[in-house]
Amino acid sequence: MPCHPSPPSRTKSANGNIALVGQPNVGKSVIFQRLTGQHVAIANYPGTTVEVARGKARWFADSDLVDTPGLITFPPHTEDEQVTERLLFQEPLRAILQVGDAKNLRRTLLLAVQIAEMGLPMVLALNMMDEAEARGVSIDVNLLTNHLALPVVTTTATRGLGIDQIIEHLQQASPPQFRMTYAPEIEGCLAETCVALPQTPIASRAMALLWLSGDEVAEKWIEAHLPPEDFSRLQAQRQTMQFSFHEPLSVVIQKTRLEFVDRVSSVVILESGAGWRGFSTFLGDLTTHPLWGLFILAAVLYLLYLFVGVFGAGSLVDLLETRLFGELINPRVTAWVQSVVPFQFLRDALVGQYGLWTMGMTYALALIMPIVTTFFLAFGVMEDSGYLPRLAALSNRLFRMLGLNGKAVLPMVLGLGCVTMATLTTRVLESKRDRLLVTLLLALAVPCSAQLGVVMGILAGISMYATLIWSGVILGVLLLIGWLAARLMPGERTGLLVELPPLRWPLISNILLKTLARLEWYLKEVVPLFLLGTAIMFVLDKTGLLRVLVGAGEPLVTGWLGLPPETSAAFLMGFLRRDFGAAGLFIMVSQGLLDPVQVVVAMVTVTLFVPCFASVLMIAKERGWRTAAGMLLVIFPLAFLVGGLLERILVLVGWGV
Amino acid sequence: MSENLITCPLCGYVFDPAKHLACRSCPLQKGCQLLCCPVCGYQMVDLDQSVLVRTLDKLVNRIKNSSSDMAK
Repeated sequence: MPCHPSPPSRTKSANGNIALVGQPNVGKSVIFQRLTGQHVAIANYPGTTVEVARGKARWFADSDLVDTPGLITFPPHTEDEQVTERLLFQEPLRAILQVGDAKNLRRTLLLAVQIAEMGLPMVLALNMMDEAEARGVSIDVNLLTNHLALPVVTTTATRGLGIDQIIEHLQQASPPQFRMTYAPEIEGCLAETCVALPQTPIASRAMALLWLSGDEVAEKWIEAHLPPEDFSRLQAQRQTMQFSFHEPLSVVIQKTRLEFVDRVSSVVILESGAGWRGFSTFLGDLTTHPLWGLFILAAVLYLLYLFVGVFGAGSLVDLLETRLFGELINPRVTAWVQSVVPFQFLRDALVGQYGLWTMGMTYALALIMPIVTTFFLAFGVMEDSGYLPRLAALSNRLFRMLGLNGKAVLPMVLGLGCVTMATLTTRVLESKRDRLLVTLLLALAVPCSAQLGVVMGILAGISMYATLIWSGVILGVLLLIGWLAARLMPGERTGLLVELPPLRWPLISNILLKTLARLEWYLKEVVPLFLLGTAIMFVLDKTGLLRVLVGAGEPLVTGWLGLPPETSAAFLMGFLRRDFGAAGLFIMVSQGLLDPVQVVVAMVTVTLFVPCFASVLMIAKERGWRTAAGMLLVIFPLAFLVGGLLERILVLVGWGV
Repeated sequence: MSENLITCPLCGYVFDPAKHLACRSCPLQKGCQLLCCPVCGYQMVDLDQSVLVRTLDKLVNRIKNSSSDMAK
């Protein structure tokens, strides 16, 4: 039995309110002001801290205009978005006015079809038309009206253009005749669900779609309006339905909508002139292409290697570490401390082998800072050009091929910024299995930006092949562990939803400001840790414990990894932060204590360590101490195992000789 | 609502940084200078919180003002 768009329980009410709905930053507030004037009341939505503005709609007697919090798509992700959905369920409405960004029609239409499916009277306003036209985009409004079967108007709210048409259409608004046809299996699920639902405030078909998509607000509404046994039956029914699909129902449903939106967009958008926009769209599509996207990624990584590795870690570090600190600053500071400080112990603590200045500050300022500066600059370009979300979309494809959850990609990409925070964001993953798996992968094989910069910088000093071997091994471990875990712990997959902004030229001034702010963060957060690490090393050295630890680690470090015994000290530093350990290795490389094979082996081993002490605390907080300890028990032996195997393989094939 | 909205570079969500929506659940929020997207958790620097950026801003404004004074 097909699930017809049965009307909502609330029919159009002449004195109901008008809900202003739309994605964030589309000009809703300007339209709200144009339609309401000065009399606006802002209050928290009941039971939340989310603000909702209400104003008297000037052209409608007894109707309020309600400015809802921005909503990207259904199901909502944040409390703000949930408030919008609850409001659509609970508010007596005479109409919905959706405001969309005319420049991003695809995104606007994705939300429009979902609202239209709700069966409430609706008008779609495509705002910022002036900006769209400035970009050479015009829209065939009549054709779009036909496809959506609802009134569409174009507006430039900042100049008051199109406001009259909005009012005119709102006065005549009636439930849209729009109906999306889904795959027969989904239609079957919808039919079964519709029958089991109570009378709904939106079209029962829309409520069924939200229910099948796992929408929390819809679930709570249904649970509150059904006897418990009926609700449990509905839940079991949905679970059974899910078994018929390889992908989550929400993904299957959203894909159908996206196909429709793409089809409609391709005929209603009339772009004039190719120019940069045409090329940008073309390049943007290539970056997420399963094959060409990988070539572009390789090119991006190569440029990153040249800029961070060759220029940052090579030229800049040489200038700062060797010349400025090595020849000018450190000899003077050492001489001054020797002459001023009377105690040898204190002199050693400041300018000795493990001195706070000669090791802690020199590592942080002369060694790591030039590398992370170049990396932050490059990362800023990736952020502001719009490449980062495309990287997430591309990785999503690779991860899904391995059987991993699409949503898992976000924390992994975030890990490139800061693994500690990325561990926190694993909360967005629905299942315990996914949260555990991604936390493990993050701790094991995703270096944060500062660490990635340092490791790349050191490897670039050896050769391009050294970087490739390191990348290959780390990526291999990441994928292998992910693949194994996905096989051992199969679970439900959920989709990834990211907004793909247009690819654009980044603003140099903005990137410079971001880099400056990031450097300030780096100095405040990382330098104290480096100093703490140096102090620990100093104490270990002075008490003789360092010799004991280095001696204890010798069979593993020298025997298994084939590294000089002094490397143990760098590994000890790596327990505190990977890049601190890497900096210790950097010094050994510059002193000629490591050959190319040993550098690659040491870098792979230290990269597979846990990222930093803070991330371990975060894992313990999020997953519990027992899980954190279990992960450490997996991570450290695995790091040494992979390092030792790599050493044997490289020696066997004669690399680096 | 603050006028200073931020677009997340990763997921595209536009949010008001003044609300600190993502900070409520974060144990590292004390003294933190970073902003987090409430949807995907992406971390970005808060330019308004950075002493270096504010100092640079002041310096640039001072140079601009003095050069416009000279032009007059």
